[in-house]
Order: sequence, then structure tokens, then C-alpha cells
Amino acid sequence: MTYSLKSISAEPYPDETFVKLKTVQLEESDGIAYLTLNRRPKNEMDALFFNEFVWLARDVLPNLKVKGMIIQGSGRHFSSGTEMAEFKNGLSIDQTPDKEKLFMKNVASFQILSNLSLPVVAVVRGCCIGSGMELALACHFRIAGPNAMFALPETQFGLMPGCGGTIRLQELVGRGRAIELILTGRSLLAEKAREYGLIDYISPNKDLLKSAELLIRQVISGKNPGMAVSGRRYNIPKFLKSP
Amino acid sequence: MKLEYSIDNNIGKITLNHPPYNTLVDPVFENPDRLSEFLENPELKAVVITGKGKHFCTGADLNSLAVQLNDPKALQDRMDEGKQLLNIISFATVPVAAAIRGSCMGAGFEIALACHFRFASENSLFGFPETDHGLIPGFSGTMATLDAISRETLISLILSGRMIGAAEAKNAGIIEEVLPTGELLAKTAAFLESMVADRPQYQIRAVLESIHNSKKFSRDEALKKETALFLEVAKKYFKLNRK
Repeated sequence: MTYSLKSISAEPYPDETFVKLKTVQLEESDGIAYLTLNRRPKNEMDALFFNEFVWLARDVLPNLKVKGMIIQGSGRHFSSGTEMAEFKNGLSIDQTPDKEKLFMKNVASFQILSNLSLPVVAVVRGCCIGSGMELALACHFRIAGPNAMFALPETQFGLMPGCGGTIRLQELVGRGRAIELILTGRSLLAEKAREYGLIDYISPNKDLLKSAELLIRQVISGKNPGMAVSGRRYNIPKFLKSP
Repeated sequence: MKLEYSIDNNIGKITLNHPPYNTLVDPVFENPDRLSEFLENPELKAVVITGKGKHFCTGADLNSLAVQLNDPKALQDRMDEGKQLLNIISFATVPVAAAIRGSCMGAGFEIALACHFRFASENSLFGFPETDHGLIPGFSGTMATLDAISRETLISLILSGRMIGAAEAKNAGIIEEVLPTGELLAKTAAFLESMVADRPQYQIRAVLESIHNSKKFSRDEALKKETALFLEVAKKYFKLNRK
């Protein structure tokens, strides 16, 4: 094992390394790491989630000896994002510099994913909203089921995306489209998301993991990098750029 | 060429005024401070840029250019200064849409490409005729942001000098919509309104500033600034909505 194991699970997983926390779990199988948000149905991103995710991103993910990573939500959805009510409560009471540091830690943890020099693929089923969508944006690739739904609705609540959305969205869909999507906060279904370049492929829900695994194998094989980046106008992952 | 400014219902309008073709006699076609001042107007939530009369802008006045070429160093300085005007438009912290009728060529096309959105009438024409005149686009056209036009289209248009119509421009992703001439201004303004009507000005400016930051700063810097802007917006929102 290449990292310390914090296992709370009672079930033995002899061949797979396994980390199970309250909001998120990490498994490895056949050289691919699977990071799953595991509070179905919403897989919401509250303070507890960010606590656990920041730890994982800083202390565990960079040390994994895997060739690719898949990020997904358990159950029907990827993530509904931050719980608005709790979030607004917290923000209105506490506007100290500590809050700023805390938020910066959160966004830095997403950036760690982007900086990994192995392909990170978001597998999106159902809703992918707010900071949930920002997590998907931080990945190198996004594959979604046909009924997946994407939105950055923060401006509808008087706020704005604060976990990298305003920086990353335009790299996928272009500046004009990003301005329009963020200011309106409107949602996109998978087909439109693919047309705009927000996601790379659509697969039936039952094939999503296989598609993600295939994509990872193609990318790391180096034999067909064009396939992995075809149709992209922007944002070709760094590790694909140089030979 | 003179610029005319007006604001109606929080939507600003900038008119390129040198009919019939609204040509640029001088690369510095407006005082940069005047342009910035208008774009920072607290009444403003979005801006339409359009040409007086039947055309958007056919670019530099060639007779003036020939005269200016007698002093290439001075011309170079003027062009560098003029290009800053396009940056001011491009990095405006309110959404900017070009409403294009008739010819949109050369520097005119470069001005349109600096905008966040482009809407055009059925009879509009786009192109870079510079190469036909033994020149190259020198007003940021060769660096037109990929947000507005793909590299392939850009190279093809610049080298061939050919003109394309509204339909081809829409297919190439250069313009959002082709509109009947009579509805061009109204529908462009309506598009902007649908994005900004329900958003307070400070929120619009924060979102756009953050989106632009990804082009001005390193990734980490831009992410930090997004957090700061996010907290500013949240603070203002809670102050205005204290129950």
C-alpha cells in the first residue's frame, strides 16, 4: 500500500485498497482509482464533505500509484452541490478572513485533481449542480448519462460560483457561453452539454464506468490521443500536450 | 470615426459612427478613458455595439492608412494604442454584444471579435480582406480569441481573404444567431436583458471580472481572486437582504 489506510468498513476488500469516510470513499481496482461521493441521493457538498475531500486531495490522491482516476456519485446523481440554506447561514454570520482561507482550501483541493498527471474522468449521472459541477469541471474529462443535468445556479441565489467555475467553464464552452450560463444559472441536459463542449461523451448509465475505463486506457496507451481530445476546442489536459 | 453612447433601461449602446462604412481613419478610434468610463457606468448592465447605417464597419480607411505609412513608427504606436481599445471592450465587466448589419471586415471584424457575443442580420458579411491588399490583420485579428472563432476558420479567412455570410458564420460558431435586419437591435438587446435583468450590477461585474481573470492571471491567482470576489458578492447580498 502506498498510503495510510483509514478503514471504517467492516467488509474485507482483499484485492482492492479502500478508504471509506462519511461522505466519500476511495477504491482502487486494476490500476484505476474510483472516488465516489457516497451520501446518496444528493451527495451534497457540505462542510463535512469538504473536510474529508480536502484531506483526500492533499494527503492521499497525489500519492496513489494508479494510472487513472474516476470521480462519480453513488446512486442516481453526481452531486447537488452545496446545501444553499446551510451555506447562506454560515456566510451571513461569519465573514472573517478564516472563511476566505477555508474557501481557498476547498478550491485548492479541486485544483489538485486538475494537476494530477494522470487522466481524471468525471462520470456523471443525474444532477451535477453548483460545486458538484465545479468538481466535474476540475476533472480532465467528463462522461455523462443521457439524462444528466448540469447547472451553475449560484447567481440565482444572489451569489456566484466560488469553486473554480468562473475560471474553468469558459475553457470548455468559450467565454460568451460561460458568461451566459453563469449569469442566467440555467441548466443543461447532457445533449446540449455535449454540443457546448462541457462534456466529452454521452453513454447509457449502465455503460458509463466501462466508457470511463476505456477512455483512461486509450489516453494512457498513447496510441490514440487524438480520440481523447477530438472535438475539443479548448482545455487539452497538460499531460497530453507534450510527447 | 466617432463613437456615440447611450443608455436605455440599463442596456448601453455604442454606435460606430462614420457612415456609410464606419471606417477607421485612425487606429485610436476613441479616447480609451472615454470608452472605459462608459463601460464602468453604474447604470450599465450590458452593452450593444453596432454600426451607424447599413454596415457594421469595413475596417481601416485605406487612404488614411497609406498616408500614415509614411511614418511607420508613429503608426505602430497608434496601432498599439488602438488595440488597447479592443482589450477594454473584451475585458468589460458587463456583457457586450455586437449587433452586425452589412459588412463586418478587417478591423471591423476585429472589433466584433473582441465582443462577448455577436448577432448578425441575414445580409451580413464577414472577412479579413487585408491579404488581398498585401497586408495582414494588424488589429489583434491574428490573435483573435478562440472563444470567438476557431483556429482553422481564422487561418482560412485570413489567408484566403474571402467573405462569408451570416449562415456560414453561424455554422462556424462566430455568431450566436442570424436575425432579420429589422429585429437585429431589439433581439440583441433582449438577449442581453434576459441575462442581466434579474441580476444586480455588482453581481454582474464580479462574475465577469472573475471570468476575465483566467486570461489575465495564473490559474492559482485567478482561483484566489474568484474566492475574494465570491465573498464580496456574498457580503453585499446579505447586507442588502438582511431580514
